[in-house]
Amino acid sequence: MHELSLVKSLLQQVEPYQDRPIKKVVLEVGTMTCVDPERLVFCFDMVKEEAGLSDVNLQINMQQAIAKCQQCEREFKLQQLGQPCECGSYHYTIGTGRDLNLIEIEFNDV
Amino acid sequence: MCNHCGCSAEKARISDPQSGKHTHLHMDGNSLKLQESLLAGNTALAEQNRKWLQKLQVIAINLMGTPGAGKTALLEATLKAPQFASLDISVLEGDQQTSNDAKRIQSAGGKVLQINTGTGCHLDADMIHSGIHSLEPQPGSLLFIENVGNLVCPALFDLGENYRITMMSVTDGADKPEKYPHMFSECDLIIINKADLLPYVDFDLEYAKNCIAKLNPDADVILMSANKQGDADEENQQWQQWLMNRVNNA
Repeated sequence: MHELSLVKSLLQQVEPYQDRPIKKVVLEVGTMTCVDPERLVFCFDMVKEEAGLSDVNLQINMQQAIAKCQQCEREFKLQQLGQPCECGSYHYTIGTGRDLNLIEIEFNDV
Repeated sequence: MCNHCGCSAEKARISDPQSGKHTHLHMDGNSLKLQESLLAGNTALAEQNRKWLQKLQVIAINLMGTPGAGKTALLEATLKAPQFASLDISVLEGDQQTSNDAKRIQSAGGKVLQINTGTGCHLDADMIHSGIHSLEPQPGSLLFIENVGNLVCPALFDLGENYRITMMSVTDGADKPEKYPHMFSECDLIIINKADLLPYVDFDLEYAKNCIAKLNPDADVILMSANKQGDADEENQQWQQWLMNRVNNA
Protein backbone atom coordinates (compact mmCIF):
# COMPACT_ATOMS: atom_id res chain seq x y z
CA MET A 1 0.00 0.00 0.00
CA HIS A 2 2.10 2.87 -1.31
CA GLU A 3 -0.46 5.38 -0.03
CA LEU A 4 0.97 4.88 3.46
CA SER A 5 4.46 5.84 2.21
CA LEU A 6 2.94 8.98 0.72
CA VAL A 7 1.21 9.85 3.98
CA LYS A 8 4.54 9.48 5.80
CA SER A 9 6.10 11.98 3.35
CA LEU A 10 3.13 14.28 3.84
CA LEU A 11 3.57 14.27 7.62
CA GLN A 12 7.21 15.28 7.24
CA GLN A 13 6.28 18.06 4.87
CA VAL A 14 3.55 19.43 7.12
CA GLU A 15 5.65 19.22 10.29
CA PRO A 16 7.44 22.61 9.88
CA TYR A 17 4.06 24.35 9.83
CA GLN A 18 2.59 22.71 12.91
CA ASP A 19 3.39 25.63 15.20
CA ARG A 20 -0.04 26.95 14.18
CA PRO A 21 -3.21 24.87 14.45
CA ILE A 22 -3.89 23.36 11.04
CA LYS A 23 -7.47 22.99 9.85
CA LYS A 24 -7.09 21.55 6.38
CA VAL A 25 -4.43 20.11 4.11
CA VAL A 26 -5.08 20.10 0.36
CA LEU A 27 -3.38 17.66 -2.01
CA GLU A 28 -3.42 17.54 -5.78
CA VAL A 29 -3.41 13.97 -7.14
CA GLY A 30 -2.98 13.23 -10.83
CA THR A 31 -5.35 10.64 -12.29
CA MET A 32 -2.38 8.73 -13.79
CA THR A 33 -0.41 8.28 -10.55
CA CYS A 34 -1.92 4.94 -9.44
CA VAL A 35 -2.78 6.60 -6.14
CA ASP A 36 -6.23 5.88 -4.76
CA PRO A 37 -7.62 9.04 -3.09
CA GLU A 38 -9.90 7.11 -0.74
CA ARG A 39 -7.02 4.93 0.40
CA LEU A 40 -4.89 8.03 0.91
CA VAL A 41 -7.55 9.48 3.24
CA PHE A 42 -7.84 6.11 5.00
CA CYS A 43 -4.06 6.02 5.64
CA PHE A 44 -4.03 9.65 6.77
CA ASP A 45 -6.86 9.00 9.24
CA MET A 46 -4.89 6.05 10.61
CA VAL A 47 -1.88 8.13 11.62
CA LYS A 48 -3.15 11.69 12.01
CA GLU A 49 -3.76 11.54 15.74
CA GLU A 50 -0.24 10.34 16.46
CA ALA A 51 1.13 13.14 14.27
CA GLY A 52 -0.80 15.78 16.22
CA LEU A 53 -3.11 16.41 13.28
CA SER A 54 -6.30 14.83 14.62
CA ASP A 55 -8.49 17.81 13.70
CA VAL A 56 -7.09 18.13 10.20
CA ASN A 57 -9.31 17.54 7.21
CA LEU A 58 -7.51 16.11 4.17
CA GLN A 59 -8.87 17.41 0.88
CA ILE A 60 -7.86 15.79 -2.37
CA ASN A 61 -8.24 17.58 -5.69
CA MET A 62 -7.91 15.28 -8.66
CA GLN A 63 -5.80 16.52 -11.55
CA GLN A 64 -7.06 15.47 -14.99
CA ALA A 65 -4.43 13.74 -17.12
CA ILE A 66 -3.68 15.40 -20.45
CA ALA A 67 -1.67 13.59 -23.10
CA LYS A 68 -0.11 14.82 -26.31
CA CYS A 69 -0.27 12.52 -29.31
CA GLN A 70 3.03 11.92 -31.06
CA GLN A 71 1.18 11.08 -34.28
CA CYS A 72 -1.26 13.96 -34.81
CA GLU A 73 0.14 16.28 -32.09
CA ARG A 74 -3.33 16.80 -30.60
CA GLU A 75 -3.75 17.18 -26.84
CA PHE A 76 -6.48 15.08 -25.31
CA LYS A 77 -7.94 14.10 -21.93
CA LEU A 78 -6.58 10.71 -20.98
CA GLN A 79 -9.22 8.84 -18.95
CA GLN A 80 -7.19 5.66 -18.56
CA LEU A 81 -3.91 4.14 -19.66
CA GLY A 82 -4.16 2.16 -22.86
CA GLN A 83 -6.76 4.54 -24.32
CA PRO A 84 -6.02 5.58 -27.92
CA CYS A 85 -5.88 9.14 -29.20
CA GLU A 86 -8.80 10.16 -31.45
CA CYS A 87 -6.53 9.45 -34.44
CA GLY A 88 -6.11 5.86 -33.25
CA SER A 89 -2.52 6.14 -32.10
CA TYR A 90 -1.26 4.70 -28.80
CA HIS A 91 1.95 6.72 -29.02
CA TYR A 92 1.52 9.72 -26.77
CA THR A 93 3.26 11.57 -23.97
CA ILE A 94 1.47 12.20 -20.72
CA GLY A 95 1.88 15.85 -19.74
CA THR A 96 -0.21 16.58 -16.65
CA GLY A 97 -1.81 13.86 -14.55
CA ARG A 98 1.25 12.46 -12.83
CA ASP A 99 1.57 15.05 -10.07
CA LEU A 100 1.32 14.34 -6.38
CA ASN A 101 1.53 17.69 -4.68
CA LEU A 102 0.86 19.35 -1.36
CA ILE A 103 -0.77 22.55 -2.56
CA GLU A 104 -2.37 24.24 0.43
CA ILE A 105 -2.40 24.33 4.21
CA GLU A 106 -5.28 26.10 5.89
CA PHE A 107 -4.87 27.21 9.48
CA ASN A 108 -7.40 27.81 12.21
CA ASP A 109 -7.72 31.29 13.62
CA VAL A 110 -5.19 31.71 16.41
CA MET B 1 14.58 27.81 -3.53
CA CYS B 2 12.55 27.21 -0.42
CA ASN B 3 12.87 23.61 0.75
CA HIS B 4 9.45 23.57 2.28
CA CYS B 5 7.30 24.66 -0.56
CA GLY B 6 9.54 24.97 -3.59
CA CYS B 7 8.76 28.68 -3.98
CA SER B 8 11.52 30.80 -5.46
CA ALA B 9 10.54 33.85 -3.49
CA GLU B 10 13.33 33.74 -0.93
CA LYS B 11 12.40 37.23 0.16
CA ALA B 12 8.90 36.18 0.99
CA ARG B 13 9.87 34.30 4.13
CA ILE B 14 10.06 35.23 7.76
CA SER B 15 12.34 32.83 9.60
CA ASP B 16 12.92 32.21 13.26
CA PRO B 17 16.67 31.51 13.57
CA GLN B 18 16.18 29.56 16.81
CA SER B 19 13.59 27.04 15.67
CA GLY B 20 14.44 27.18 11.98
CA LYS B 21 10.74 27.47 11.30
CA HIS B 22 9.47 30.01 8.88
CA THR B 23 6.27 31.59 7.75
CA HIS B 24 5.54 32.72 4.23
CA LEU B 25 4.29 36.00 2.96
CA HIS B 26 2.27 34.24 0.29
CA MET B 27 -0.42 33.61 2.87
CA ASP B 28 -3.95 34.38 1.82
CA GLY B 29 -5.77 34.95 5.10
CA ASN B 30 -5.32 31.68 6.94
CA SER B 31 -4.34 29.72 3.88
CA LEU B 32 -0.79 28.97 2.77
CA LYS B 33 -0.38 28.15 -0.92
CA LEU B 34 2.30 25.60 -1.72
CA GLN B 35 3.45 23.51 -4.66
CA GLU B 36 5.48 20.74 -3.11
CA SER B 37 5.79 17.22 -4.50
CA LEU B 38 4.95 14.46 -2.02
CA LEU B 39 7.63 12.34 -3.62
CA ALA B 40 10.23 15.11 -3.60
CA GLY B 41 12.33 13.34 -0.97
CA ASN B 42 12.37 10.04 -2.86
CA THR B 43 13.01 11.73 -6.21
CA ALA B 44 15.97 13.70 -4.82
CA LEU B 45 17.51 10.55 -3.35
CA ALA B 46 16.89 8.63 -6.58
CA GLU B 47 18.71 11.36 -8.48
CA GLN B 48 21.60 11.07 -6.02
CA ASN B 49 21.69 7.29 -6.56
CA ARG B 50 21.63 7.80 -10.34
CA LYS B 51 24.58 10.22 -10.21
CA TRP B 52 26.57 7.93 -7.95
CA LEU B 53 25.96 4.92 -10.20
CA GLN B 54 26.68 6.96 -13.31
CA LYS B 55 30.00 8.11 -11.87
CA LEU B 56 30.95 4.46 -11.35
CA GLN B 57 29.54 3.56 -14.78
CA VAL B 58 27.28 0.99 -13.15
CA ILE B 59 24.15 0.07 -15.13
CA ALA B 60 21.21 -0.37 -12.75
CA ILE B 61 18.13 -2.37 -13.75
CA ASN B 62 14.95 -2.33 -11.67
CA LEU B 63 13.36 -5.76 -12.08
CA MET B 64 9.70 -5.69 -11.11
CA GLY B 65 6.83 -8.12 -11.53
CA THR B 66 4.38 -10.53 -10.00
CA PRO B 67 5.42 -12.73 -7.06
CA GLY B 68 6.58 -16.00 -8.58
CA ALA B 69 7.02 -14.63 -12.11
CA GLY B 70 10.57 -15.99 -12.08
CA LYS B 71 12.57 -12.84 -11.35
CA THR B 72 15.11 -14.64 -9.17
CA ALA B 73 15.26 -17.54 -11.63
CA LEU B 74 16.08 -15.09 -14.42
CA LEU B 75 18.92 -13.62 -12.36
CA GLU B 76 20.25 -17.07 -11.42
CA ALA B 77 20.24 -18.13 -15.06
CA THR B 78 21.84 -14.86 -16.14
CA LEU B 79 24.62 -15.28 -13.57
CA LYS B 80 25.29 -18.82 -14.82
CA ALA B 81 25.07 -18.07 -18.54
CA PRO B 82 28.44 -18.44 -20.28
CA GLN B 83 27.56 -15.42 -22.43
CA PHE B 84 27.67 -13.20 -19.35
CA ALA B 85 30.73 -14.77 -17.71
CA SER B 86 32.74 -11.62 -18.39
CA LEU B 87 30.17 -9.39 -16.65
CA ASP B 88 30.46 -8.35 -13.03
CA ILE B 89 26.88 -8.70 -11.75
CA SER B 90 25.60 -7.72 -8.31
CA VAL B 91 22.06 -7.88 -6.98
CA LEU B 92 19.96 -6.01 -4.43
CA GLU B 93 17.16 -8.35 -3.40
CA GLY B 94 13.91 -6.83 -2.14
CA ASP B 95 11.37 -8.86 -0.17
CA GLN B 96 9.21 -8.26 2.85
CA GLN B 97 10.79 -11.15 4.78
CA THR B 98 13.47 -13.87 4.47
CA SER B 99 16.85 -14.04 2.75
CA ASN B 100 15.77 -16.93 0.52
CA ASP B 101 16.38 -15.12 -2.75
CA ALA B 102 19.72 -13.66 -1.63
CA LYS B 103 20.88 -17.21 -0.82
CA ARG B 104 19.85 -18.37 -4.29
CA ILE B 105 21.77 -15.52 -5.93
CA GLN B 106 24.81 -16.25 -3.78
CA SER B 107 24.69 -19.93 -4.77
CA ALA B 108 24.58 -18.86 -8.41
CA GLY B 109 27.79 -16.89 -7.87
CA GLY B 110 26.44 -13.37 -7.54
CA LYS B 111 27.38 -10.62 -5.12
CA VAL B 112 24.15 -9.91 -3.27
CA LEU B 113 22.50 -8.01 -0.45
CA GLN B 114 18.99 -8.68 0.86
CA ILE B 115 16.76 -5.73 1.69
CA ASN B 116 13.75 -6.69 3.84
CA THR B 117 11.01 -4.10 3.67
CA GLY B 118 9.06 -5.49 6.66
CA THR B 119 5.50 -4.32 6.10
CA GLY B 120 6.54 -2.24 3.07
CA CYS B 121 5.37 -3.40 -0.33
CA HIS B 122 8.04 -1.78 -2.54
CA LEU B 123 11.63 -0.61 -2.53
CA ASP B 124 12.33 3.13 -2.31
CA ALA B 125 15.33 5.30 -3.18
CA ASP B 126 16.49 5.46 0.44
CA MET B 127 16.74 1.64 0.67
CA ILE B 128 18.72 1.58 -2.57
CA HIS B 129 20.96 4.36 -1.28
CA SER B 130 21.87 2.26 1.79
CA GLY B 131 22.00 -0.90 -0.31
CA ILE B 132 24.49 0.32 -2.90
CA HIS B 133 26.78 1.77 -0.27
CA SER B 134 26.95 -1.60 1.52
CA LEU B 135 27.08 -3.70 -1.64
CA GLU B 136 29.64 -1.45 -3.35
CA PRO B 137 29.11 -2.48 -6.97
CA GLN B 138 32.39 -2.35 -8.88
CA PRO B 139 33.01 0.32 -11.55
CA GLY B 140 31.67 -0.79 -14.91
CA SER B 141 29.48 -3.52 -13.40
CA LEU B 142 25.82 -4.43 -13.77
CA LEU B 143 23.44 -3.99 -10.84
CA PHE B 144 20.07 -5.71 -10.72
CA ILE B 145 17.53 -4.46 -8.22
CA GLU B 146 14.93 -7.18 -7.72
CA ASN B 147 11.91 -5.32 -6.42
CA VAL B 148 9.26 -6.76 -4.10
CA GLY B 149 6.87 -8.97 -6.09
CA ASN B 150 3.97 -6.59 -6.63
CA LEU B 151 2.38 -5.13 -9.75
CA VAL B 152 1.19 -1.89 -8.16
CA CYS B 153 3.38 0.05 -5.73
CA PRO B 154 6.91 -0.32 -7.20
CA ALA B 155 5.79 1.55 -10.35
CA LEU B 156 5.50 4.79 -8.40
CA PHE B 157 9.01 4.94 -6.95
CA ASP B 158 12.08 6.05 -8.86
CA LEU B 159 15.10 4.22 -7.44
CA GLY B 160 17.74 5.87 -9.61
CA GLU B 161 17.78 2.98 -12.10
CA ASN B 162 18.67 3.18 -15.80
CA TYR B 163 16.14 0.61 -17.02
CA ARG B 164 12.91 -0.91 -15.80
CA ILE B 165 11.79 -4.45 -16.54
CA THR B 166 8.32 -5.80 -15.76
CA MET B 167 8.07 -9.56 -15.60
CA MET B 168 5.01 -11.80 -15.58
CA SER B 169 4.53 -15.48 -16.34
CA VAL B 170 2.02 -17.38 -18.45
CA THR B 171 0.58 -18.86 -15.25
CA ASP B 172 -0.41 -15.38 -14.06
CA GLY B 173 -3.13 -14.91 -16.68
CA ALA B 174 -3.11 -12.92 -19.91
CA ASP B 175 -5.05 -9.98 -18.50
CA LYS B 176 -2.35 -8.86 -16.05
CA PRO B 177 -1.20 -5.90 -18.22
CA GLU B 178 -4.79 -4.73 -18.56
CA LYS B 179 -5.39 -5.09 -14.81
CA TYR B 180 -2.17 -3.35 -13.75
CA PRO B 181 -1.61 -0.75 -16.46
CA HIS B 182 0.74 1.54 -14.53
CA MET B 183 3.37 -1.15 -14.06
CA PHE B 184 3.27 -2.24 -17.71
CA SER B 185 3.21 1.29 -19.10
CA GLU B 186 6.29 2.48 -17.26
CA CYS B 187 9.00 0.05 -18.25
CA ASP B 188 11.50 -0.52 -21.05
CA LEU B 189 11.10 -4.27 -21.33
CA ILE B 190 8.29 -6.71 -20.56
CA ILE B 191 9.21 -10.36 -20.05
CA ILE B 192 6.53 -13.04 -20.30
CA ASN B 193 8.12 -15.99 -18.56
CA LYS B 194 7.48 -19.74 -18.27
CA ALA B 195 6.77 -20.01 -22.00
CA ASP B 196 7.51 -23.74 -21.75
CA LEU B 197 4.20 -24.09 -19.87
CA LEU B 198 2.12 -22.59 -22.69
CA PRO B 199 0.85 -25.99 -23.90
CA TYR B 200 -0.51 -26.72 -20.42
CA VAL B 201 -2.14 -23.43 -19.41
CA ASP B 202 -4.96 -21.32 -20.74
CA PHE B 203 -2.98 -18.24 -21.71
CA ASP B 204 -3.94 -16.07 -24.69
CA LEU B 205 -0.57 -14.71 -25.76
CA GLU B 206 -1.97 -12.50 -28.52
CA TYR B 207 -4.40 -10.91 -26.09
CA ALA B 208 -1.60 -10.10 -23.64
CA LYS B 209 0.63 -8.72 -26.38
CA ASN B 210 -2.24 -6.62 -27.73
CA CYS B 211 -2.84 -5.07 -24.28
CA ILE B 212 0.86 -4.32 -23.91
CA ALA B 213 0.98 -2.69 -27.37
CA LYS B 214 -1.76 -0.28 -26.29
CA LEU B 215 -0.21 0.51 -22.92
CA ASN B 216 3.41 0.74 -23.93
CA PRO B 217 3.92 0.61 -27.69
CA ASP B 218 7.64 1.39 -27.40
CA ALA B 219 8.49 -1.39 -24.93
CA ASP B 220 10.31 -4.53 -25.99
CA VAL B 221 8.42 -7.76 -25.24
CA ILE B 222 10.24 -11.05 -24.74
CA LEU B 223 8.67 -14.46 -24.29
CA MET B 224 11.03 -16.82 -22.53
CA SER B 225 11.63 -19.70 -20.12
CA ALA B 226 14.10 -18.22 -17.67
CA ASN B 227 15.00 -21.47 -15.92
CA LYS B 228 15.74 -23.16 -19.25
CA GLN B 229 18.43 -20.69 -20.24
CA GLY B 230 21.01 -23.39 -20.77
CA ASP B 231 19.10 -24.29 -23.93
CA ALA B 232 20.15 -22.29 -26.93
CA ASP B 233 16.61 -21.49 -27.94
CA GLU B 234 15.75 -18.30 -29.75
CA GLU B 235 13.50 -16.87 -27.03
CA ASN B 236 16.20 -16.83 -24.40
CA GLN B 237 18.68 -15.42 -26.86
CA GLN B 238 16.43 -12.37 -27.13
CA TRP B 239 16.97 -11.68 -23.43
CA GLN B 240 20.71 -12.14 -23.75
CA GLN B 241 20.70 -9.78 -26.72
CA TRP B 242 18.62 -7.17 -24.93
CA LEU B 243 20.96 -7.18 -21.95
CA MET B 244 24.16 -7.15 -24.01
CA ASN B 245 22.85 -4.21 -26.03
CA ARG B 246 22.36 -2.23 -22.82
CA VAL B 247 25.82 -3.14 -21.58
CA ASN B 248 27.47 -2.29 -24.90
CA ASN B 249 25.62 1.00 -25.25
CA ALA B 250 26.52 2.21 -21.76
